[in-house]
Amino acid sequence: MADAAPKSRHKLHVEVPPGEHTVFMRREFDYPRELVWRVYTDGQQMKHWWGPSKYDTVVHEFDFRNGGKWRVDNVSKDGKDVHPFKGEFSNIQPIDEFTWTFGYADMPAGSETYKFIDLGEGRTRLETISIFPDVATRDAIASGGMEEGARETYDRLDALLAKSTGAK
Amino acid sequence: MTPDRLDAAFSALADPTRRAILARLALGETTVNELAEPFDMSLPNISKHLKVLEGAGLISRSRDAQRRPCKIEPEPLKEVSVWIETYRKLWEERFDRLDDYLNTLHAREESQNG
Repeated sequence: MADAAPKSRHKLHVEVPPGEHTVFMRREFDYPRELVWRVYTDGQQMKHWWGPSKYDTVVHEFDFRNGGKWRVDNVSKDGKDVHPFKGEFSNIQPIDEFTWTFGYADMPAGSETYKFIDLGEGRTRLETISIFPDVATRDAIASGGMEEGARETYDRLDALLAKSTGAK
Repeated sequence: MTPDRLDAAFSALADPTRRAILARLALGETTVNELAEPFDMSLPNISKHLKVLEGAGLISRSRDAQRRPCKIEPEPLKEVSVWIETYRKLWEERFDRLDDYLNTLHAREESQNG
């Protein structure tokens, strides 16, 4: 599908400060900031990349302006399994950052702030700050359609456990 | 694991002393006195941390009244790790797909401009 071979993928850094309802992530892209911003803030483009690949992404609403709403479903290929997400945009500062509230089904919404940092030479770092209203919501969002992933993950637990209890 | 318990595990892990205590207990069960040694801390202070860890289900203490050795309980730690890994997987896939899509778009725009 792509004209050029995919470039090497960058590692995703995830930080979950213990005892907080916050998750920090950062990830680099070998593409200009203007392009990353444009794709990320355009509902028409969202169906091409958002959501796990085993789901279709259906964008019902994506009104990208302060106070504008967004509503997106992740639908399983057989149409039986629907994960509805919705929220509202704020803090739009092209092409530096924006915030949206992020709700899953009828659970209370949290917020996610995305920062687009120009690294020069056509490279961009995306930094995100997600603030969850409570742990139950955070867990529901993490596990939405990801039960299989969680099971696979159990196989890799020993190493992780060693890491999380490791002395400094 | 209930969300409350996961929450308790996250907040218990927020403290560096408690993480160090867990790291020590990962090597094997030990008494409060032995635990206190490497830390420049009074016994009541260490006991306070142990109480938080015990409340979060991260450690258990034997009923042996004399020594009351502490033991690590791995299950809640597993839950915390599973949560982080699940969340990471979701976003890893999302960003990898974004990468692919950016690649396609970028190539298309380059060829239009060139």
